[in-house]
Amino acid sequence: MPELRCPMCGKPNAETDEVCAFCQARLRPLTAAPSGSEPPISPSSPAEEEASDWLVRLRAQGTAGEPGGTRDLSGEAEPLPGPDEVPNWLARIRARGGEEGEATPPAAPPPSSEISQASPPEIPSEARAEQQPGETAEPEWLKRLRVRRTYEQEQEPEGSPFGTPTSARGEELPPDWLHVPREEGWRAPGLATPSEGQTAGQPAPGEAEAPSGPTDETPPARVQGPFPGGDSFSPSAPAMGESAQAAGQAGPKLPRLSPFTQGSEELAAEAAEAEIPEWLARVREVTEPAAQGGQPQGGQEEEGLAGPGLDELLAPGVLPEWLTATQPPANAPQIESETEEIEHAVLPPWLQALRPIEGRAVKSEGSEEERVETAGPLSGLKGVLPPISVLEKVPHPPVQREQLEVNPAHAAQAELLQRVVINPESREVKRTERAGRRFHSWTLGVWALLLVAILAPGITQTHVFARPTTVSVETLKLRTAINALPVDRPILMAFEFDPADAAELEAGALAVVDQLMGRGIPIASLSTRPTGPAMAADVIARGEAAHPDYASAGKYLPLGYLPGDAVGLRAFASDPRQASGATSSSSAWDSPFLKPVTSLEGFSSIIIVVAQPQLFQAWIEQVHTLHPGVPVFAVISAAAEPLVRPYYESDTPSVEGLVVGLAGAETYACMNSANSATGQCGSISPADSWWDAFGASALTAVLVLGVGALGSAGIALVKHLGEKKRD
Amino acid sequence: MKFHVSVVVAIGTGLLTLVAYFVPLAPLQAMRAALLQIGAILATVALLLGAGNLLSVHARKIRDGKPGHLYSIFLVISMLSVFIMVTVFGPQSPYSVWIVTQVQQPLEVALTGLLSGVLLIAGVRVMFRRPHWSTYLFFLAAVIVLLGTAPLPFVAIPFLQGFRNWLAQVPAVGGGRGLLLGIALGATATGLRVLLGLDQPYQR
Repeated sequence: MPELRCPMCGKPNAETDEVCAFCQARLRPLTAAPSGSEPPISPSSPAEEEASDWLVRLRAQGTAGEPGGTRDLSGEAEPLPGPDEVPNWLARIRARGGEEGEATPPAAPPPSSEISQASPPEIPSEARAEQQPGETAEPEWLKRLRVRRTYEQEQEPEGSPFGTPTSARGEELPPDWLHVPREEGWRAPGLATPSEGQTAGQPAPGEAEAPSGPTDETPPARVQGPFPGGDSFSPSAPAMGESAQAAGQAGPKLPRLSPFTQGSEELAAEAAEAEIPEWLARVREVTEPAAQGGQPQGGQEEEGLAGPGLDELLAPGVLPEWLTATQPPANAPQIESETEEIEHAVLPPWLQALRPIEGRAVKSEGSEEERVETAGPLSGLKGVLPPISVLEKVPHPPVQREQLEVNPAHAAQAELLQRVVINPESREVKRTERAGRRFHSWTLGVWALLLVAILAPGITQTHVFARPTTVSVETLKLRTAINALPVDRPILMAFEFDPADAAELEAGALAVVDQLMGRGIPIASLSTRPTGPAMAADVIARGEAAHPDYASAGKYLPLGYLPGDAVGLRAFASDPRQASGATSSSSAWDSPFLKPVTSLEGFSSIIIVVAQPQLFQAWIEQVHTLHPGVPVFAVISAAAEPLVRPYYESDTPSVEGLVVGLAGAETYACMNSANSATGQCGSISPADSWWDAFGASALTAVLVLGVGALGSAGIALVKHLGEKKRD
Repeated sequence: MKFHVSVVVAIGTGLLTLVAYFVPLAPLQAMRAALLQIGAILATVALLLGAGNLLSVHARKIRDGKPGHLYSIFLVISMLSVFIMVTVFGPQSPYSVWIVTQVQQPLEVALTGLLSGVLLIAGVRVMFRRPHWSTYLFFLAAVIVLLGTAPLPFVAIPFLQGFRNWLAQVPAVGGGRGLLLGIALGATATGLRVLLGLDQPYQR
């Protein structure tokens, strides 16, 4: 046999029982019909009002007691049970309610504005009458609680609107919400019913659930008074708002009240009288005549607790502003019905296209069909546990495909991407093959042509390229200056080139060294390049091969490597001995040609053999600026000429003579060996031996560039003509 | 603390050298000469440190057997042999000169010649790939300079060398002077930044 557990004590009961056999608690909660199905309040038809008494209907449903713990939530009025099916306590309540209903005329329905301000729904007098407790149905523990509560209220000091908290007295008493009868929890604010005063001091159902911290100034006991929208309120403002809102939502579910709280009006009235604050008493004195005039006759037995009329209480200035502003809307269904009649605006298509993707609205739990628990300690309760998890309710924004604007090009690309992803092609890379073919096609031909141009003059020993016939001024100046140098003073020769540049610069250096050795001028070599001393030694050795007397005289003075680049040069210009002493051999500075040299002024001139313009610039800036009286000459490469020539062509030239490239070397060598009688060049210099190879390779390069330019221009012309024809 | 000391030393040294450059006082000149000598010695030590680092890197490569370690073997052998030879016989001894003139110089000259050929091929290729007026201008300048520098067989074009000289001395020198001015301004700005402590290359 299925059992129905009591939600209060948890003991099993028969499924057909309505109340617990052990604690007399209601086993089946009284539920209200959905708000949408609730018949609207119609003030013009009292008969319909009586028929729409939701509380009566819900009580009837509660007494119907369908097996399995389920209940019809359609909201349709069910037939009331017969007198035999109704328990005794309910029968007495109904009988008493019927008497009061006959004695009390139906209250005028409040206007819609007042309904909108009232949080709890209207409770008919009949329903309130049904909530009068029966003496025999009252359990023993409730009686004890009431007696204790009465005793506590008698012991409370007069004049204090708040009862001393039981916790403050150190007693373990049930909370106040359990002490205070609550059958009159909700009342329409505009109604001046006989039970108005009776409800004073009784907490609203929602308030029982509202948290309120028990502090010294805000004790857990409620300030009891005839407040609109609720007969009592918690001093905590947020709790007030929350309770009011909760009351507004749970208004139709008033039958959730436990039956053991019914029938305590007398005790509650006494407690209310004792707990009415002074300010409320004054308000009652002022508004009592009007309230008495407006009160129906049914409230005579509650006259002692009856407060002023609600209209007077709602008058401006009586209640604080915050209290009137926190009234929850009670006529939400009416508003919905009004909003349904409003014609919706029609959005233009362009505005709908701009509208963001709408998420699916979350269905409120109230819209879900409330499930009634059939097993466990929650059996018989409805809507306690959510039927599905909250996470399952998280909406996912729907994909509105109609908002995606895809043009044909994008669609084609998307299709191509999809095809590539599904069937990726494995394509062979032929880049290496193409590069090799290009190399073999014309690059190799260029290399072969250059090689033939370089080797052919040397192999054939032909001299088809004309020697330079003119001597540049700068070269002639150098030669003239060397011829004018004193023989007893050494000349400083800087070899600032690497072996890679030796092919071009060695010819010029050899020509100058040949002239110097021919005159017998001592040569001191120096270099800021690591390979410079070796290059200097090679040039000097080749020069000494042509001048054996010079070698035997020991006029070559190698100073070696000078580290530090510009810094080393500056140091050498400041003190040559100190700067180059560590790197040069001791015999160089001890030679008779260098002994008188204590500074750079001791050198008759400086000849710089340089391939890079930066090195030449360092010599000019670090050395020549410090000793401008020492003439500087240079043997430079053709690549360095554009940057070196400004130092020569300025108004105050830093360089007094130049030998530029292989052509300058050939000219200088020719002048060295020229026959003064015939004017012809004498011995063959290194520059002369390389002259034909140099000319042939340069001409080949010009030819290659010319062919390339013609081919490029021809292809471009053909393309242009082709495009013109197509057009 | 190290940071401040290094900055003070750098700025002080730079300012002292700069002031001695303009003020011909004997004490300042002596201090500047000493500082420059120290700088030259440090540069030599830095060169030795670089050579030592290169040797250690390739020695580690040989020890670990990394790809290309055979080249490292050749590098270490040649480096050690040249170093020993130059140290023992001197930088201008016939052995040292022979190594430079018979080994290093042919290699570098060959690479330079290879570079010339590659540049020629690149010049031709760029005319095919990017047929633009600037490409043809480059071609024209190259041809004029080559023909003006190198001799022509049997004939001599009189105006060609003059045009080449004008090309090398007017437009090229103009560009070269612009480069020199830019370099000078850049060097001045860099020196001022180092002197003011805004740039601290010694901190890296």
